[in-house]
Amino acid sequence: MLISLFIGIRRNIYTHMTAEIGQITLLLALFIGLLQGILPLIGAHKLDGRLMAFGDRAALAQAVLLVSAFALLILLFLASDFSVSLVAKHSHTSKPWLYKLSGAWGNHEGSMLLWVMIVALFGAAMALFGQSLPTPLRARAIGIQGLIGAGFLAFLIFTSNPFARSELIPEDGSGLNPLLQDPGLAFHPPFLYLGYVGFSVAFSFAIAALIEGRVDSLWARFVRPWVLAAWSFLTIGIALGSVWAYYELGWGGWWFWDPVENVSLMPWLAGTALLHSTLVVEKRNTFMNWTLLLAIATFSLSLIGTFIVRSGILTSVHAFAVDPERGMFILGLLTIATGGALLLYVFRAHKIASTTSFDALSREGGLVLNNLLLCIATATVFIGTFYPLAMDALTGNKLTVGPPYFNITFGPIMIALIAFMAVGPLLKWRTDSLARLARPLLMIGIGAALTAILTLTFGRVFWGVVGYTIAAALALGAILSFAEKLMVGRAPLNKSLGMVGKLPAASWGFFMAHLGLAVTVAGITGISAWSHEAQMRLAPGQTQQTAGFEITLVDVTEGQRSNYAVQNAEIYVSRNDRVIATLNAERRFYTVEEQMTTEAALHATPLEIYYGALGEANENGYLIRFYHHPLAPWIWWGCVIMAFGGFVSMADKRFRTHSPPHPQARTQGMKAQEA
Amino acid sequence: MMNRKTLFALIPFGLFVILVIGFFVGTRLNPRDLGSPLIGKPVPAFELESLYEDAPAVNSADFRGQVTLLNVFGSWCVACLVEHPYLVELGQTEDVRIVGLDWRDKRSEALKWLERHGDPYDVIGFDEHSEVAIDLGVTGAPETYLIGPDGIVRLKYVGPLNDDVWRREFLPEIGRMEVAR
Repeated sequence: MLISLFIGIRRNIYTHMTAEIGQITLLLALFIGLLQGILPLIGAHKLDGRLMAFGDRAALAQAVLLVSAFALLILLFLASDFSVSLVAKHSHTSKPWLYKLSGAWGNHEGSMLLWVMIVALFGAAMALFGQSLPTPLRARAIGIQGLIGAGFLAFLIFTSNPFARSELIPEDGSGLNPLLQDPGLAFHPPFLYLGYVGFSVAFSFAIAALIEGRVDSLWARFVRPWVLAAWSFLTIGIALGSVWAYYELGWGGWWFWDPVENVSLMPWLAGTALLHSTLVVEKRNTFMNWTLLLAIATFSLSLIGTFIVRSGILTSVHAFAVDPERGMFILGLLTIATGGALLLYVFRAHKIASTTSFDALSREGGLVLNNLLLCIATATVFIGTFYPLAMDALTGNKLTVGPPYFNITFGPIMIALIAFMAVGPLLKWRTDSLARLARPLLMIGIGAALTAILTLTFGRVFWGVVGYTIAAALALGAILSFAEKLMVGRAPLNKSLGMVGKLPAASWGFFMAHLGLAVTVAGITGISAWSHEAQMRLAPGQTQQTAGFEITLVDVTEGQRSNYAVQNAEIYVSRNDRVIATLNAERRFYTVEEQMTTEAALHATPLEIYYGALGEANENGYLIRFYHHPLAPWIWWGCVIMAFGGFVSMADKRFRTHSPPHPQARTQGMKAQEA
Repeated sequence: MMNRKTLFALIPFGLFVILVIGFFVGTRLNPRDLGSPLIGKPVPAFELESLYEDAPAVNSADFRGQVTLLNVFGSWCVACLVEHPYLVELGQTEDVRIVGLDWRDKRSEALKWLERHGDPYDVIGFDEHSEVAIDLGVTGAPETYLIGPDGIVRLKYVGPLNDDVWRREFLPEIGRMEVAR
C-alpha cells in the first residue's frame, strides 16, 4: 500500500526533481550551518542579544532542512529511483520495503547524511530545551554545534554526495549486501549515531564552558541528561550490532574485537566515565577540568570511530566505504575539532578551579577509581586497536591483535571495575568510614561467596565462577544502595515503602543501569563458560542425542520467496521426551547477488538460546548444527535495562529546575554565574 | 601564565598531536598496497595437507600452467567473510584457479565456515602452524597473491578483494601476462 503510494508519486513529474531538491537543501543547510557556527559566537562575545537569538533559530532551521533532505533520500529509495547512483548501487526493485528504507543509510553517503541530520537534531534540541540556561552559554554551545554540523556537511557535499545522478540507469539496481538485510541491522546505525553524535552536545558545552572559563553545577545539570541520552542510545546501538553478529556472523560469537566494534566501545567507556564525572561536578563542584577533558575525549573518540570506518586505515568488516580522500577530510575535521578544543583547554584550564576537597574513602574517591579504571579500559582497547597501525608506521611490520590480547588485558580491568562497582554506590559523599561500610560489605561478601559455592556445584569452570560471583556482587551492591536510599532498616518498613514512589528518577536510573550491567555480565558468563555445541547428520525423521537433548530433523522443504530461494529444515529439540523448541533453520540463495546465506534458527527462552543451523546434504542426510547457549539473552536484555535506566534518569526533575539542589554548591561554584 | 596547571593542560594536547601524526602517516601507508619481496620471483615451493581430509596434498608445483589466485583466509577473520561473496563470484565468472590457504585455523571451524558461506576454492591448503604463511610473508588475512602460469608471483594484495580492486589491480596484471605469452 505504502509502496504503491510512492510509486504513484514517482510517476508525478515534479518528483523527478527530488534529487536536485535534496542537493539544494544540503547546500542551504551548509550555508545556515556556517552562520550558526559564527554569528552566535560573535553575539556571545559582544553580548548582542539578536545575534545570540539567531543561533536558536538557525539550529531549528538546520534541523528542518536536514530532516527534509534525509526524507527525500528515503523517498528516492522507496521509489527505487535508479537515476540516482546511490540508489542504483544499494537497492533493488525486488527488495522488501524495510530494506529499501534501511538501504538509505546502509551505505557511506546515506549514513553520513543521517549523521549530520542527527547533529542538527541535537542542535535544535539544545535550542528548545536550553532556554533556562544563561543566553551566552547556550549561544556559544549552539555555535560550536553549528560548526561541527557545517564541517560534516561540507564533507558530505564535497566528497560523498548522496544525491548524485548516475550516467547509466539500471533496470533493477545492484542490491544490498544480504548480510545487511536484517531488521536488527536496519536500526543498528541510527542508534549508534544517536549515541556517537549525542556526545557532541557535551563537547559543544565543554567548549562553551572553556571559552567562558567557567564550569559549575548548573552546567553539569544541563549537560548530564544529554550525556545520559547519548550513552543510552549508544548502549542500544552496540547491543543491536552484537545481536546481529550473534545470529548472522558466527555461531555463538557476540563480540569479535573487530576494530569497528572497538571504536564504538571506546566512546561508550569514555562516555560512562563522563556520565559519572558530571555527577561529581553537579553535586560537589569538583572534577571540573577532568570532566571537560572527558567530554572532549568522548566525542573525539566518536570522531575517530567515524574516521576509522570511512578511511579504511584498519581492515575490518565495516570497510564498506574505504576511500583515502574521505579519510583525509575526516582526519582534518578531527584535527580542527579536537586539536582546537585541547588547545583552548591549554589556555583556559587554569581558570577553572575545583573548590571542594574530599577524603579518599568517599563517593568522590570511588568515582575517581571508576573514572581511572574506565580510562584504563578505554586505553587498553585503544592500544589493541591501533597498535598494529603504529607498528606498521614504525617498523613496516603488519600484524593483527586478536581476542587473546583483549581477554588478558581488558578482561581483568573490567572484573576489577565491576567488583568496585558493587561497593562504590554505598559510599557517602565527602567522607566515609570503613566501620559504616562493614555491614553492607559483609552482606555483599556473603552473597558473593554463596554464589561462588552454588556455581561450583554446577560446574568447575574458573571464569564461570568468577563471572557469576562478580555479577551477583554487583547486583547485591546496587540493591543495598537502593535500599539505603529508601532508608530500609533505618525507618519503619511502611515509611520505606512509601518512599518508593518519591525517589528521584535518577535513583531509579542508577539502580536499573547497575542491575542491567549485572545481567549482561551474567549473560556473558553463561555463554562463555557453559555453552554446548554438537553437529550431526540426520535424514528427515531421524533423532540423535547430545548433552541431554534429543534433536529430531522433522522435514526439509524447498521454496521461493520474493528475493531468494530457500531450503527450510524443521528441527525439534526435546528433553525427557518433551519438545522444548522447534527450530526452522534455512539456507537462502539470493538470486540478484548470487550469494548463499545460512539463516540459523533461534529459539530464545528467558534463560537460554537454542540455536540450529542447516548445512549441506549428502546421501546420509543433512548436516545439522545444534548449540545451547545458557543465559545468552541476558547479554542484550542487560543492555536494554542499562539504556532504559539512562532514559529514566533523564526524567529527573532536578535537570529541569533553575536552582541547584545544594545551596552550598551554589555559593562555591557560581561566582560569576549571575553576571 | 605558564603555571603548573597550564603545563599539565599541555599533556592531552601533546598526546593528540602525536595521535594525529600517527593517523596521518597511517593514511599514507596504504595497508592494502604492500610491496612483497616475492614479486617477480617464483612462489616458494611447498607441499601442504589439504583442508579436506580425503583430498590430496596441495603442491605449489601444481600452480604452473594457469593463472592462480592464492587467497589467505581463516574462519576467524571477519574481513574474509566480507570478501567471501566476491570470491565465490570470481570463481564462477573468471577463468582463474583459486587456491585457498586456510591460515591459523581449526579444521572443523574452517569446514563449517565454508559450508555455511560457500566454497569458491579449487583446492585448499591447511596451514595451521603458519608453515607456508611465513615463507610467503603473510601479514594478515585476507591476503591474495596473483601467480602467473609460469609460477611467478605477480601481485600481492592485502585486504578484502572486491570488484574495484579486481578491475584496478588484478585485471591489468592478468592482461599483461596474456600479452607476454
